[in-house]
Parts: sequence; structure tokens; C-alpha cells
Amino acid sequence: MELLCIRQWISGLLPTVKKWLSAWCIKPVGGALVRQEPEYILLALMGSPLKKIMLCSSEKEIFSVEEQVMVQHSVIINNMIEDGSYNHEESKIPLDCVDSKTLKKVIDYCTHHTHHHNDNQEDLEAWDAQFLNVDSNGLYDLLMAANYLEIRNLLDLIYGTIKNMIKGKKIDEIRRIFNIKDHGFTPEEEEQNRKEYPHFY
Amino acid sequence: MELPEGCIANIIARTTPKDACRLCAVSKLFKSAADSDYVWGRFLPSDVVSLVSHSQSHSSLITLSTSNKSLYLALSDSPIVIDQGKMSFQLDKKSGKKCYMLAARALTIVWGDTPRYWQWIPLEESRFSEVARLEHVWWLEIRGVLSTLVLTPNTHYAAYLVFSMEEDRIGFQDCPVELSIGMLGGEASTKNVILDPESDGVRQLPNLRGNPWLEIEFGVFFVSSTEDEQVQMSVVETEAGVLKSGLIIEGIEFRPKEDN
Repeated sequence: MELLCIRQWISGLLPTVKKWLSAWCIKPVGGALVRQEPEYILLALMGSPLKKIMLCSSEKEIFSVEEQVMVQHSVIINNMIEDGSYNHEESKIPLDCVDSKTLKKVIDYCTHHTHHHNDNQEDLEAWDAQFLNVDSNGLYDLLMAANYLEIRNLLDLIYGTIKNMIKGKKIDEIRRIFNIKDHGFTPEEEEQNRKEYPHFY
Repeated sequence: MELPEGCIANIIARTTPKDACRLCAVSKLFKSAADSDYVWGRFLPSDVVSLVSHSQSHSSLITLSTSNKSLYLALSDSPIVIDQGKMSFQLDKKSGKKCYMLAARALTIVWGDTPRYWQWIPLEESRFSEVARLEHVWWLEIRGVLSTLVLTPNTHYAAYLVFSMEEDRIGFQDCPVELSIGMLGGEASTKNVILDPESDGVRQLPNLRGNPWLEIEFGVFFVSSTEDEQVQMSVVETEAGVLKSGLIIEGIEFRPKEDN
């Protein structure tokens, strides 16, 4: 049955239920309040597929993902859905600064954490560690995507990982990790730094 | 890989104050991130503004500090006196955790108000306006209490008696003194120590902490993140019937235990 038909049927048959659901369908999600369309709540209750949204990578590849998943994790996407700038029938959300490979990984992260949020801490941490087992370019891309989409827990995870990567390292190694070719200091400043932190070099 | 300054600041904020100083040397961008108010705001305790503004002599510290970093360095370099001269506050340089010292005036010293037993005198080397000087007693009993709410949560702290000995002190070389520490309503741990640093023997002696002060540890306690507990300390020698004199008490200091 067409989604549109179901919607019309419900809207027509159950105006009072719809009114009740409108009042009821406010759920707190990661600190933001999200209103779900009452028809879709009913559909979800009836076991229909959960509402999806479309994300479009910089390579123009479309990814369909549960709205619930992205709204729970990304402040940016949550705001777009909430303020109505996203139209479910027609829109896709263009993410011009995220490539397909990275977008797929971000979606994986959000999906796993939504569906497995009741898992024990150790299992989640092990999954996270495996998830971040990427090269430094991959990590950089993930960080930029998480930053753009404002995915707090992924950001915390990546920041923590990078912090551990530089812990106890000498300055040359840190410059290598961050691919810093030109540190920007004058020779005198560099000399001064060496004197101040001899063991760091 | 060109990380924006905001991301770099977020990474550095998760390291330590010492690391943040070193990371200034990585690159100009790192230096800008590492010196930022965002990073040092994360290192400072959240109630630092109200703490400092309650210090009479140092309320200008906030306005004079040009940045959170300079405020942090100022607070970790030297203590400020707060609470009408009854306490001092400082930041532990490495960790940014709070350190306090209860002045002698904030302690309960038995016979402390009787001038022939204890005198209250100003001392240039003390951060407080007065210290307690023992003329002579047989009954030595000093008690202190602190609410753990003022300390940094989830931290192991140690408490230290901070004191000095006059040249002509008597009664402390051979006579051990009982130090005790514990939470109100809980068990106390006690130990017998010798306060005179020039004593021989096997008991624990005090350490020098900066002329003329000595310190000796009461013990260690853990500050939980949720409960407001009272930690109690005492210094007691009332059994031996030995005359004691020449002890100067500055206060009791609380600071994070090293291996935090």
C-alpha cells in the first residue's frame, strides 16, 4: 500500500487519535526536542519501516538512513528536521564537505550507537576502538565530518584518540602526525623554544 | 591535514597544563590554540571567579589577568588568602586541582586562647596574618575540619600539618605525637610521629617545605564527586606528661596526592 494512502486513511479516520498523538509525540533526543509526525508514530507502532532521510555526499552519492539515528547524534541534522527546512518527500541533505567513504563511516557510527546504546561499556569501547582503526587521513576526514555535523560523542572519541596519539611524543613526531611542514616560527623563536623545552625535541 | 585551531584547542584541552605549555612549541597555530582562553578555561576550576573575588587582597587578580592562562599561572605560583584570613587557596600547578590551607586560626587549639600557653603572632614568612606559637603546654591537642565540597572531586588528597620549630624547642625530640585523619562518621587512621626534624630513631619525621616551614602528612583521603563529607584531623599528645614548647603552627594544607 502506498505510504500516501496509509497517511490519508489514518488522517481521515482518526482525527481525535491524531490530536492525542500530536500532544504526546514529543520526545527528548540528546537534549533536543523532536516532534514526530503522528501518522508516522502510528506507522512505527504498526511495524512499518522507520522514517528515513537522505544524505548526499560530496561525490553526489545518496545514503538513506533512519531519521531517528541521525537526529539523535547530529545537532545540525536535528536542527534541520526540527525547523522544518527538511521536506521528507523531496529533499536530500547535501553534505558537500563529506565524501562517500567518510559519510558511510559516520552513518555506521551513529547507527551502531543508536541500536546498541544498551550494550555494556566495554563492548561499546571495543567497537569504537575498532571503528577508529583507520589511517591518519581517514581520522582527519572523520574529525572534519563530525565537526561539521556536530556529533558530540564522535568528536569526543576522536579528540581523545588524537590526544593519546600525541601523549609523550617529541615535537618532531607531533609535527609529522599533523603533517606540519612549516611551523611558522622564526629561527630565533625556534631556538628559544629549544632552550625552554630541551627534552621535548 | 590542516586542522582548524578550534579542533587543536579541543585536543589540547584534554591534555594537562604542562603539556599545553609544551605544545606551544609545535607551531604558531598550536601556540595560538594552546594559549587560548578556551583551553585554560578548561584547566581552571569552574568556580574560580567567585573564589578569587572573595579574597580581599586579590579581587583585582581577575581584572589584572589578561588571559585565563595568566590567571592559572598566577594562582598556581602563589597562594591567595581567602575567607577573612582563615584559609588560603592555590592551584596545583601540574593538575590544576584545588589546594587549600586552613590557617591556625581556623583550627581548634586546646588552651589556644590562654596567652601563657599559646601566643598569636605575626610572622613574615607566613602567608597568614598570624600564626600560633606554643609557649608551653603539657596537653597538646589541635583539631581541624574541612568540607570536601571545596576540593576537586574524584581526587586523592593528602593533608599536611605545616609548622616550624624554634631553636630552643623542648619536648618534641623524643616524645611522639599522634596524628589522626578520617571522615566524620567514619574510621580514623592514626600514626605516631616525631615533630622534631633533628631527632634520631625510626619514627616518621617531618620534611622541609620551604624555610622555615616543615610539613608532615596526616594521611590520604578520597574526595568523591557527589557527597559532602567532613574530613577531620587531629594532633594529640596528652599522655606522656612531657612539657612541650617552641612549636609554631601555620596551618593544615590539603593538596592532591602525587600519583593522581
